[in-house]
Amino acid sequence: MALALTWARDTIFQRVYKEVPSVENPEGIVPQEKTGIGIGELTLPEFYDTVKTLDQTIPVDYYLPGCPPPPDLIMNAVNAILTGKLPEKGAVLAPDKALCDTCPRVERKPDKLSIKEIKRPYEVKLDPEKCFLEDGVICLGPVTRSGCGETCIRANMPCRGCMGPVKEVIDQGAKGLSMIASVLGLEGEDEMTEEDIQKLINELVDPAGTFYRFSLAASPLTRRRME
Amino acid sequence: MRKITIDPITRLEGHGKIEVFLNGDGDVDRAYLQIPELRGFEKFCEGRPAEEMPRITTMICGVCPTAHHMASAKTLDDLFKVEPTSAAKKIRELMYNAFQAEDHMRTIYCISFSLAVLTLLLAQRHPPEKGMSWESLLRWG
Repeated sequence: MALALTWARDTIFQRVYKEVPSVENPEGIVPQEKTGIGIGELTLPEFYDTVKTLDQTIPVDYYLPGCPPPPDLIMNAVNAILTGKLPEKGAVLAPDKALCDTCPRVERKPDKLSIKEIKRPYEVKLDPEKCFLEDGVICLGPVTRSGCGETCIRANMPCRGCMGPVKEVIDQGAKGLSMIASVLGLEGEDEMTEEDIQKLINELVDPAGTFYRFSLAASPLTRRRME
Repeated sequence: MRKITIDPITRLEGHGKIEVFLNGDGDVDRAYLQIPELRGFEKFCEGRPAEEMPRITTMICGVCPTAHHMASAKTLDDLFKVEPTSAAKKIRELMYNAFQAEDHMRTIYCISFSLAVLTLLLAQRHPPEKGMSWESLLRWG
């Protein structure tokens, strides 16, 4: 989870070490890379301003997606290593299908989606058999990789994308936003004024935390622009 | 003055570093525990939908997500000024007890026990020698 990219390093330090209610730090001490303690020196690694993905840092042989990775996928991966039946290097050890394809609610997913109003999960009495998007609740199922066992959906909670995107997608968040944009106010789009459209878009309260919760570091957007 | 650095600490759920300063006699003069990680949850949770917190704060730790889930769920009860039903409270308690059992098993079998077995196996093959230095003993263990 790289949502720290939505803030600057100094802002995070300020909040964490000086302001949070559980901290009492009248001298305003923050961690330093080097601290002299008389008898020697203590060192800490540098706190980077950018959260990187693993493969931006070291070469990655295989990817095991999910936060946390599902036990059956871990088991499959261990079996693949033990039997030497590993796919080509750099492969993701999970099915290359969208979550919607394996979703237990797929039969109820309407052929043509149209979101009239964006709802937060607590604003609707969620039908455990109905597609979340039909109710206007944002679900990242269409742009997220399958293989998680749909645990959130089976607990009546929409997908937030922890398995990452399918193979062809570079930017999961952008894909998700474009998916929502294509179904937002689809019915009666022609009669809508600019204000109506803006109002509908404004109902989306936290685009970064919803669409980029697990993929911000991997996105070409990388981080919030610092003035 | 000699310094022993243990980095990372492998018997810890998370990240840690220990610096031990020894005096001239080889005794511990001072020891420091450092936590060289910061993720920024304290800051980046701000301004996000409150109802999403049980699924954001759980990502703080892969060993104890249930504790974070419970804490944020209880905070939401307070925020929305609702009292969970008796069934909901029982489900929570059941979940938390299951988590405790899971967590203890993980600690025993994945963190402590497996390492103890490994250490014993190593000790059989390479018995520690009398007069081994602190540093090599720590590394050996």
